[in-house]
Amino acid sequence: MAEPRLQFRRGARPSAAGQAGRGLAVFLVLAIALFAAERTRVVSTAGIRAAVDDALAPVLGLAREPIAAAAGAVETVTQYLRVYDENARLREENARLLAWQSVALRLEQENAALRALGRYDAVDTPTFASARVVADAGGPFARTILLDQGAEAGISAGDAVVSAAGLIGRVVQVGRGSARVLLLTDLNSHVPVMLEQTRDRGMLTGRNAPRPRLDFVTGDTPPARGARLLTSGDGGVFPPNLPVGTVQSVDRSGAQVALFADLERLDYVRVIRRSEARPGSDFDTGAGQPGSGS
Amino acid sequence: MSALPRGGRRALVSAVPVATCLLVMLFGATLTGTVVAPIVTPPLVLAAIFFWTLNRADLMPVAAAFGIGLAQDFLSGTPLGTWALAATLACGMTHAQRRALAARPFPLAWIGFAGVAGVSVLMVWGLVSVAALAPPPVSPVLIQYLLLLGAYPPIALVLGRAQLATLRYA
Repeated sequence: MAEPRLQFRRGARPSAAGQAGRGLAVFLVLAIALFAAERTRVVSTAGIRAAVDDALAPVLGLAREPIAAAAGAVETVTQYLRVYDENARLREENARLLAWQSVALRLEQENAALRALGRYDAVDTPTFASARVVADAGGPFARTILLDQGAEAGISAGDAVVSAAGLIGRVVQVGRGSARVLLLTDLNSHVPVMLEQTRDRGMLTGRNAPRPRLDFVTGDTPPARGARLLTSGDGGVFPPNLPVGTVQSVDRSGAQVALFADLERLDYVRVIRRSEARPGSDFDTGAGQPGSGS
Repeated sequence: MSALPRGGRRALVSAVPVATCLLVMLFGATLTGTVVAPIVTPPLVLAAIFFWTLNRADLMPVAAAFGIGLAQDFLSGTPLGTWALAATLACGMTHAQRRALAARPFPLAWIGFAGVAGVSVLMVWGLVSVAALAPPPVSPVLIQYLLLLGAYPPIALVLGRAQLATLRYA
């Protein structure tokens, strides 16, 4: 440790140090007052939080570059080390997916035929905004992430956010060029879900731990282990049928859920836009437009 | 450094503790959720605040700790005032302990940090419980606390270098 060498400054300017220690009570009270004011909604802090996030997002995005590069290097090396195993696994997976592909193709045709038969009006296809995760400063106390796209990309508060694997959370605060996402694992997250097979409804509640809980399940039988969960769309916040996770273990009052999305390693995510005004849609303006996130 | 006038140099160097605290905080925030640290990084900023309060109390007043804590609240999305209170408390407690800890061997400072960080983390846990009306699970908090204790020596080493490199100009 460099500690012993630092002693030349120890105990310097005791009077100044004494001064600096004062005002402790004032700032403690100020902190508690801030906490109380925000909690009781005496003052709205959403605007100032959004402004701070707007300022932080580009800085954090830049700071994440070298770390992302380092992470990429680590990933590359581990991939080289596992290339044979990985290849075998991929071959096996490929064989399995080919079987599924034929099933999907058959179902697609069947679906098209049935739609034609029933003059079915397709539900509005939502549009997406892609965004990069620039910070994930949560920890055991809050599970939120910061995205580098905001209102300018058509994102609004309440939009659902998904990764390639499934739902990860919803936008709770939007700035001009930043958005904060409350993850499914946060204590304040409550998402109406349903079991894919039985269509029983339930509430997915975060606990600030890796696995959220499934509570208040309707139906007589408890959810089965391994059952898939989708968003139910009840309450109108989330679009229905987004994949969420699988039931991992069941107890008397509910179940623990393993999410499809790996919330520990989020890089790029997609925000499902609900707002009417949809500038810079990924689909009608082509790649590389706002929302591509690069 | 020597090209600057003395007053300018002093002002610049006086900002080193707060600036390094903010850097440590941003470092933690960008590291979390990447392959480098897939698990959650601990609130490293507490270690930085403790280090500077112990070694340069004159440059780490409680007002600065309050500001840094508030920045952490904005960054992590915790209820405003949560980390501000914890950081202020950590700074205040360290000020009170300085006489006992200064100019003692490093392990003693480390033990002091364990106490200060423990109270601060407990405070955050309490406030978040109140805000969400549900207590966050204890085990991740405990793991984070232990990681934070483990992170103190390297942070003290790096900040010690920063102190040697810059603060003699003040």
